Amino acid sequence: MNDNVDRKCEPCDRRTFLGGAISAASLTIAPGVTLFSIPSFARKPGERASNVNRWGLLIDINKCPDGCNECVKACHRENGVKSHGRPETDAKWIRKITVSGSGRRPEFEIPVMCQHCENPPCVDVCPTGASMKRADGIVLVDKHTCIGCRYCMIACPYKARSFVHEKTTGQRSFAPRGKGTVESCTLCVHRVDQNRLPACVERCQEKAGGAMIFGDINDKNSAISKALRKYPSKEIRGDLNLKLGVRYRGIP
Amino acid sequence: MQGIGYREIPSIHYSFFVVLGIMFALILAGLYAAWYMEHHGHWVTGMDNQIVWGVPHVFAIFLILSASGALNIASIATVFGRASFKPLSRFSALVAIALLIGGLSVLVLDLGRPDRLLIAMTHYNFRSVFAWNIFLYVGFLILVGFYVWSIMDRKMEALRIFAGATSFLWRLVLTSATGLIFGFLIARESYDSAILAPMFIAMSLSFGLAVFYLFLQGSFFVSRRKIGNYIVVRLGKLLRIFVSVVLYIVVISHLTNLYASEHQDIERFFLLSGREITVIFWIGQILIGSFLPLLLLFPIDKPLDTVRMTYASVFVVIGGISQLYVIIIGGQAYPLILFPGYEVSSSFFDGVINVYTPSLIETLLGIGGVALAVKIVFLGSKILPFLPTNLDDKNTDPHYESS
Amino acid sequence: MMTQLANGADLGPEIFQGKGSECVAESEFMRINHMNVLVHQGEETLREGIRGGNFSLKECISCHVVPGDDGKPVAFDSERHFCRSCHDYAAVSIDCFTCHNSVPDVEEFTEKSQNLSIMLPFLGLTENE
Repeated sequence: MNDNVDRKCEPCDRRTFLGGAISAASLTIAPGVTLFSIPSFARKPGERASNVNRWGLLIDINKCPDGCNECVKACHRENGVKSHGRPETDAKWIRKITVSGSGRRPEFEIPVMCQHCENPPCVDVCPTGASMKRADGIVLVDKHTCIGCRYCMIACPYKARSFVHEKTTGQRSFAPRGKGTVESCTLCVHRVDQNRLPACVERCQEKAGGAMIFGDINDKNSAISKALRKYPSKEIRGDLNLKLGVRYRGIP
Repeated sequence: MQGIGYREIPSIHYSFFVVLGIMFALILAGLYAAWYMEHHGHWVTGMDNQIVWGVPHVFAIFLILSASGALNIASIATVFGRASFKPLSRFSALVAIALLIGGLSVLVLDLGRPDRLLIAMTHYNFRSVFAWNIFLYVGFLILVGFYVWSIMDRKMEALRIFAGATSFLWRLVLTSATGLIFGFLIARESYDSAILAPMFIAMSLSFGLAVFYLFLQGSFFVSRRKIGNYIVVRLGKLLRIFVSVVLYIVVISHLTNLYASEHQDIERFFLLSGREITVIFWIGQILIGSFLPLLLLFPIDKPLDTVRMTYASVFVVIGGISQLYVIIIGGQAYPLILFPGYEVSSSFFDGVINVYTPSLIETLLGIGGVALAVKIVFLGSKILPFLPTNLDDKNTDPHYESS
Repeated sequence: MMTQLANGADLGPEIFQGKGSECVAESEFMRINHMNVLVHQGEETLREGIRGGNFSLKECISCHVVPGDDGKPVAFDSERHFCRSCHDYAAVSIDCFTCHNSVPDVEEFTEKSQNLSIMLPFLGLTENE
């Protein structure tokens, strides 16, 4: 197990990939790097989300295989986000961006979705309060009050939001989405509330590079907190000081 | 200064009904466009996930800016005490109300869920500039309505200065807030700037005066009344100041950006490489919208006259729409910078200059808003005595001497 | 399965009974209050993250399915849909199904959707693939 994970996206067998590194309570993928442990956040049914938790993602782009689109597919399948064959108006909750530098700068691929800012511009600008941040840091759109003004889309520095341009059908019960409203990555809030991993993270760990760690940044013992302490990580456009919930390892 | 009376538009001239008929047709077309967009979803327009605000917003913001600018004539008369503009006060307020209603209609009908207008009126997020604007627009309509009342009803005369001053201050806040809709956006390189607030105020003064003058000309034409040269020269001198100020702020803001190396790429986009955006900037905004009006309004050989003023106003309107197109569409066409210094690409149009091709349907919606404003002004002037019967020099020029 | 509401008149809406033996609350209560409890719980779920409440639209939809001619549940665009049959009759428009699905989830991912099941292999407890 080293950091030089095969960068081609072959659906590798999880067991061989993980080798014998599985311990009883956590998954260690390199010495001292805990990929994932039992979340200690379990909220009882009926309990409200609170700022005790701060959900976050850590994405190690060194482990994100080139040409792999598993997280994107998993997300859109999970949330019923379908294409109408019109790329300009089709919704995208997560996308892979190919970043190429000139000279000695390396080329890499990076999945970008809603960054779940602590100070989200989309929430600030929303006239009706439909764009909102849950107490545990997950940024959502309340489609009951969204009037479809798209101001949040202009305000988002990450192009994380999509406007639903056409009539939708076949929505998943936990991910309502409808024409004329704005939507974005929910961090799979329906799964998080059940102590499950977001679909992209689950898929990445199962079938792809295992580049994503999900967890509670407020919990010092969580895998994500440990990994964040252990290695330097960065926010995209950290200069904007939005305090993102999604961090990356290995980006410039 | 005697002899100013106010009368409704008389129904003697067929052109009045021609104008009303055309406007009615355009309003119907705009309503159809709105229905079509809402029924099918916004994919039938040229707007998409990259260019989320398009031509409807260009028209809506042009109308809203012009609304507060059009009120300026009344403010100058009431607040700054310039008597020669006094006969125009009530018409100025009417034009302001009409333009604002036209602009807001376009804005609302372009929403993804216009049926939820009630939600916009009952759920406020007070951190949102947009929510402040909803509040400011409604307040503007009420205040200006009250102001019109104070102008037209002698019993209300005592409150006129108060109403005028409040409306004036309100419109300054309103226009600043409209500018800050863009100015507060840290995400977009071309927007994130405090200069947008004063720029929008200058733009509103300029566009509003031009639109007001065209309305005045039109209404006087259909009611067969005459505008004396004195008032035209006054308005023309005002317009040339406003046009100059807008041009000045535009030049300064571009120079500032050119000086800062971090903004040079986006400046190159606007000024050189932005395809239609660059063309609209140089031809529409700078040549037609700034230079031509200034040439017409600073006459060397002949004094200002109605013809020059009318052409200048038309050019200012074309320039204004161009300027807003450059600001609104151009600002979105330029990609977001996620990794400064790197090239990016994705299946979601990251890193590319976004192309916007307005569809007929959204253009009809925008024009429908303009038509609504025209219709309100004409019908308003037909029903109530907004228009002075006579703007002859002997009624407006304090130094007029009959020769 | 198919029973008409005993309104004493043929003019009443044709309403299909749910699959379960009884509703989450008294029928009379639901008739009057379903919109309020749904909106209230929806708000709590979305904004506060409170899960597991009684009044879930998802449960209404999956209990009150009306089979169409092909045996599959009919969607809201059919006049026979549970919600629509009554709302048409009362001439009250609803805005739920512009965003929410009006038929139960197709269980494509059932094997993955159990709590914690995904974690089990990581814990070396069971391996069920």
